[in-house]
Amino acid sequence: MTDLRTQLRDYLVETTEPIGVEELLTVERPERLSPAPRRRWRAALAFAAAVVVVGLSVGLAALLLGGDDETVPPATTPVVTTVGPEVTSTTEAAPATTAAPPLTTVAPAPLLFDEVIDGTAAAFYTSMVLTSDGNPVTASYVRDPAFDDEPMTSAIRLVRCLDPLCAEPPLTIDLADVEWQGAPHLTVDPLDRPVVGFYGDDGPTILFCDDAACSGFATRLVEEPGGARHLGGGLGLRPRRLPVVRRGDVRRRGASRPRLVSRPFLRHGDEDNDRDDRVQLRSRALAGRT
Amino acid sequence: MTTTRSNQEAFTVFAREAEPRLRHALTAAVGQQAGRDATAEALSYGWEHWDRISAMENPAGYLYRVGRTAARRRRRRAAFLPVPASRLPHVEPRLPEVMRRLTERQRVAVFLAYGMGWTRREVAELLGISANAVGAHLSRGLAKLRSGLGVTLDD
Repeated sequence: MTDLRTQLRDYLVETTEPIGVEELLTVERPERLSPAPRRRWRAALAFAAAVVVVGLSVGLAALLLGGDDETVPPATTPVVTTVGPEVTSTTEAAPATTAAPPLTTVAPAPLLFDEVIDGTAAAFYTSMVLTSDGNPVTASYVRDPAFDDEPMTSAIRLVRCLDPLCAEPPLTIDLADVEWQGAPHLTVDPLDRPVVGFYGDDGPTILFCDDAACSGFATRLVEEPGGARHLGGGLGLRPRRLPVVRRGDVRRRGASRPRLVSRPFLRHGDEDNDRDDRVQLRSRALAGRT
Repeated sequence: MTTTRSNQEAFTVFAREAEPRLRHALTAAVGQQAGRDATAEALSYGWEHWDRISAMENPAGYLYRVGRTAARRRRRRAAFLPVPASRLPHVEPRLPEVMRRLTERQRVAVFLAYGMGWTRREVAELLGISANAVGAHLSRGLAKLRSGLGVTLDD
């Protein structure tokens, strides 16, 4: 039997007929062909295509994960009412417009921070976010009468409304007594678990609640080479609860230099806190007080 | 007029030398009929753009890619014709089917480097890949061929 090399050669040569070159010179081509991309452009084209795919994926994921919840009951929308005294006074000031439709205004929604925060406490430096249900959650400092002689010592209070307009008595949770410097910052993760950033006794601290009601929590200290400084600017969460803290440098006298502090600067501070008792962290649900 | 005639002569010389190479390579890549059509289209394209292509470093490799693009546009799958027993009685009947199972570059490497005796550098130049890559495709293709046909190769 003929060897395989000969078979291949014969098969390739015998089964295809040569093309007459002279005939090609007279052929009118019906369409113009484009050559394939050159090799040196293939990597760039593949990279560009990958960038487009990644961008579309990220955008789609952000759209799916960050979409607004449109399932708020219509009964919770603000009520439109006619205001009597204002209408009268306006009509007297412009009598020629008697044919105009009656003036209306939007009644203020029953969301008042003075009421949301415990009215008996002086709350300040309030930060607020909305949960996925549209319910407000606030974090603020409240003065504790036990520390009247220490005006900088306050408790961080978390107030979690149970409906979008905070009509029902909210859940109030005192998280920690701290000597505050700067406002607390609040955000929630995709499971509506609050995350609070504040400047505690040991420096910038991030507090992760265990659940939406913050029945328990864990803390991490923001550690930075060169010493801890103010936590300022904001607090955000990446997927998997990886915090990003935008910080300012207080030594620059207001002209802060924003910095992004991410996981490498976070160290586990729970053990140290528990052992040294340097930060008195306490968690108690005070729903009954409200 | 003289320039046109000169171009025509230059292209004719090029095409006579490149036509078998292109035809064999494209036949190995996409099949007999599609490969022959792609070769004709590539050479027609080469004649139409000869002023530009003649200045290229590797016009045959460029036209090979033109032929591949043409074959892809036609969306013809590699279809290796069965070998007529009366025409090629000594060719193993299973050869087309086994070759069809190879990847395109393995098939081209086996056909050209093993069957036609091209050097790996010549195959690499036409395909636009390195000689080492041709060697890898060749060895894998021959291994598949050996396994599919149940024969021992002498290479």
